[in-house]
Amino acid sequence: MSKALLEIKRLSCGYGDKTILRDISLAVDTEEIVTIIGPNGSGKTTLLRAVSRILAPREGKVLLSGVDINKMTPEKLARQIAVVGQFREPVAMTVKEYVLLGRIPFYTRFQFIETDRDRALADRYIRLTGIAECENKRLNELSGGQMQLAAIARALAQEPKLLLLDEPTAHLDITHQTRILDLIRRLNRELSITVLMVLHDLNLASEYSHRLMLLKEGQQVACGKPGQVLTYKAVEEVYDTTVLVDKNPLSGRPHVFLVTEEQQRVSDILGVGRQASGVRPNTQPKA
Amino acid sequence: MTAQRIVSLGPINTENVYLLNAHDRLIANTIYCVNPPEAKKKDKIGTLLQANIEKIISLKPDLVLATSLTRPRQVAKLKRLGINVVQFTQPASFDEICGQFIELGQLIGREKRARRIVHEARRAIETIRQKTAGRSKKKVFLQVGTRPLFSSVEDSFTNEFITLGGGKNIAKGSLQGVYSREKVIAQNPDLIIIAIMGTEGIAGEKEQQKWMRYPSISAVKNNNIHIVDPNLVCSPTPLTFVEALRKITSIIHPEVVLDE
Amino acid sequence: MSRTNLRSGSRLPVFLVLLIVLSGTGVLALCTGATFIPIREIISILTSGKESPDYTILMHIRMPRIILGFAVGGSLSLAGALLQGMFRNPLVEPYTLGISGGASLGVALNILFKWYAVIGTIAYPVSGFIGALMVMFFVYGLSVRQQRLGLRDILLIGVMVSFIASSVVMLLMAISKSEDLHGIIFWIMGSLDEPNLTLIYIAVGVSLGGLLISHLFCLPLNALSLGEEGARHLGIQVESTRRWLFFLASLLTGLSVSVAGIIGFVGLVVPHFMRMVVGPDHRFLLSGSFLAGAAFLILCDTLARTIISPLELPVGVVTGIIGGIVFVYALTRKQVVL
Repeated sequence: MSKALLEIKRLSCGYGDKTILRDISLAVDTEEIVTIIGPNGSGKTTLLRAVSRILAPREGKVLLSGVDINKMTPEKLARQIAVVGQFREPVAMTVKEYVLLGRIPFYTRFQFIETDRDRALADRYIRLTGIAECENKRLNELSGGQMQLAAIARALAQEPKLLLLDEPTAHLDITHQTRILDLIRRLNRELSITVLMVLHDLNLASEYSHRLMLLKEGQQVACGKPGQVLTYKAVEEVYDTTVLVDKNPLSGRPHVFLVTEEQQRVSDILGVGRQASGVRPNTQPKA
Repeated sequence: MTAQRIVSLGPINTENVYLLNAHDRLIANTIYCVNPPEAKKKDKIGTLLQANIEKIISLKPDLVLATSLTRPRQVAKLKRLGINVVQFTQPASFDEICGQFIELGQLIGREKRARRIVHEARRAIETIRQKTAGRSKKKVFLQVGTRPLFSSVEDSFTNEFITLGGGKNIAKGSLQGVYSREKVIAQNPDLIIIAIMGTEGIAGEKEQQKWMRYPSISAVKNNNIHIVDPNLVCSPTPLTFVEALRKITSIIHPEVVLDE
Repeated sequence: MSRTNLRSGSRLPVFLVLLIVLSGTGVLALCTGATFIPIREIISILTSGKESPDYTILMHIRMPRIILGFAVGGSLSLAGALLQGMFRNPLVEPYTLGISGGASLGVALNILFKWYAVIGTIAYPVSGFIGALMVMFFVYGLSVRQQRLGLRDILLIGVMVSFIASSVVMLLMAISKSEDLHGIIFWIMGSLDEPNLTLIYIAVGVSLGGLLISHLFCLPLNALSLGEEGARHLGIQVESTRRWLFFLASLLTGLSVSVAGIIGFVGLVVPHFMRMVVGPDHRFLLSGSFLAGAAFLILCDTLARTIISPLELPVGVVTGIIGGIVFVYALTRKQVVL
C-alpha cells in the first residue's frame, strides 16, 4: 500500500509541437517536502503546471490519492492542491480580500458572501504567515516578501493537502528567503502539508527538502535524498559549470560551492579532488 | 377641420405656407427658415435635422409639416403622441412640386389658392417650354454639390430646369449624383451651371476656377460657366421653380426673350 | 498616499448614496427640459389628468428618456465592468470588441436600402442588433476555432473588426444621398429619444436581467484578477466563464447600441470610477457600476437637452466630454489600478 499522496507516472507533456517533459516519474509521500531543481528551461515550471492541471499530459498520468487529476472537476482539485505561482498582478484588493479568494473552491453553488468559517480560516492563516499587521493594506502596497507571504496565506486558505510553489524565494533577500522556507517547513510539520516546490538555489533546496529531483532538458537525471543527488559530478554535468560540494557544518546537508576560473586552475594543478567526503580537501602542495 | 396651429420643420414648408397666405396660423419653424424675412421672427423649434419635441408639444399644434430630412424617430414620436404629422419628401419633378403644394393647400384650407398658383406656374412653364422647343439642345452640366462632385440627377426636379430650359442633362444616366470630373471632361458640356449650397459666392467662384483648369471643355472655352443662387435651385415652391427655370433658360438660351 | 478605504461593512452606505443620486438625477431630468417644471407642479400635473400638454411632456417625452437612460447607462457600464474584469485591461470598453461597428453597419445598410420603408421604424433597432450579433458571433467563432487565441488576440481582432466596420460605414456614407447620410450620422451620434415603448421595456428587462445573471460571475471575476492560471488554480472554469461574460457583455452592448445609437465613454469611465470608490470586488462593483452608469447617462442626457435649447446636443458628445474630463482629473489625483 503506497503512502504516496502524489504519483506522477511516466509523464510526458509540452506546448504546441514541442515536448518539454519526457517520461517523468515521481512519487511524493504525505508530509514530504520534495524540491525540483535544474537549470533554466529544464521543465521545472512545466512539471508544476502538469501537476496543477494547467497542462494536460500527452503521455502518462498524474494521480492524487490514487485518482487521476484530469478526471476530477477543477473545484475538487482546488480543494486538495493549492499553487503559489510566480505571477504577481498588482491588484488593488486588500490582503484580507486576497486571502479570502482562497476559499472560493469551497463556496456552495449560489453562495455569494464568505461564511464566518471562511473569515476565521483566513484570519488564522494570515496570522500564521506573520502578515497580520498588513491585513488591510492593498496588495500593490506590499513589499516583495510580504506579497509572497500573502500568496502563501491565500494558498493555505484552500486548506490543501498538497502545496505547490514555483520559485517562492525568487527576487527576495536572504532574510525573506529563509523566513519563507522556514515557514514552509513549519507548515509541513505542524499542518501536515505535503510540499512540491521548484527552487533555483541548490543550497536552499538541499537544506529544506526531504528529497530532490534533478531535471535536465525535460528528463529526470536523479531523484532522492539531497546527499544522493547533489554530487559534484551530477551538478557539473547538468549545470555545465565547475563546483565544489562539501557538507554544511551545521546541518550535515550537502552544500554546493561555485568554483571560479582561477580556483579551478589552481585545483587542477594541485590535483585536488572536488568532492568532500567528510574531510577537507588537501590544499597543501605535494612535496 | 382645417389646421389652425401649424409648425413647420423645414424652409420649404415655411415658404409654401407663406405663399398660401396662411402664415398667420404658422406658430413655429426652424432656425433655417429665413424666407421670407418675416419667418425669422417666428418661434423656433430646432433645426432641419433635429427638432425639439418638447417645444413642439408645448405649442399644441394640430399640424406639423415635416421634410425628408426630419428624423424618422421624431416623426414616429410625434405621431405616437397623437399629433398630425405630414411628411413632404424631396420632390422628383415639377409635377410633384405642384402635387405637394396642392396637398398642403388642402390641409390648411387654401386649396383654391393653391390650385390657382399651380395653374399660373404651369402656364408660365408651358410658355417657356414652347419658346425653347425648337432650339438645339445644349449639353448642360448642372452642379449641385462639391466634395464630392454632385450633379443634378434624372429623378430630381433640378433635371427639369435643364430639360424645360432647352438643354440636355449630361448626367442623365447617373443614379445618385456623385459624379467624376473626368466624366464631365469626356462628355464635354456646352454649359456648366454651378448651384452649390453654402457660402454663396465664394464657394461658387472656387468651383468656377476649378473648371477653368480644363480648357478642353467647350463650356470653358466659350466662357459658359455660370453661378446661380443655390437657394433658387434648392427648395422650390411652384413660383420659385418658375423663377429658377427662367434664370436657367436665360443662361442656356440667352437669345430667348422671356417677358414678365 | 492613502485613498478612501471602504471595507465590506461600510459599502452599504455607498449604495444608499448611489440610489439617492440616481433618484435625484431622475427627478432633475423630469423637471428639466424646454421649460422647467418644479417638483410641486409635477405632482399636481400628474394628478390632474392625462390631457394637458404638460402631462404629455412629463410622462411621454421625459419619462421614457429617463427610463431608457437608466437601462442603457446601466447596461453599458455593466458591460464595461464585465469586460474590464475579463480582459484585465483598463482600456477595454463595450465598443472595443467591434460591436458598435457592427451595429452601425447594420443601421447604415438599413438606411441605404430603405428596409424601414418595408417594416417600419423598427428596422433601425433590429438592423442594429443584428449587426451587433453578427460581429459578436464572428469574433467569438474566431476565438473558439483558434484555441490558442489569448485574450489579447481577441481584443485586437475586435478592434480591427471595429475599424473595418467603420470604414465600410464611411464608404456607404460616401455614396449615399444627403438625406440618407444625415440619417446615418444622426443615428451614430446617439440619442435616447426612441419612440417605441415596447423597445424601451425590452431594454429595461434585458439590462436588469443581465445585471442579475452577471452576479453569478462575481466570484470567477474576482478570481480572474489573479490571472487566468491563478483563477484556474482556484477551480474556476475559465473557458466557460469567458464565454458567458463575452455573451453577456455583447448582448447588453448590442441592445444598447441598437436602441440608442453609439454613446461612448460610459462603459469605460464608470467602472473605473466605481473601482476607485468601492474597490475591485465585483460583488459590489457590478451593481455599483450599473447604478452609477444609469445616473451618469440620465444626467448627461438632461444636459444634452438643455445646454443649447431648443437645439439638442447628441448625448454621446456630452458623455464623451464630461466623462473624459472627470476621468483625466481622477487619474491625476488618484492612482487608478485595476
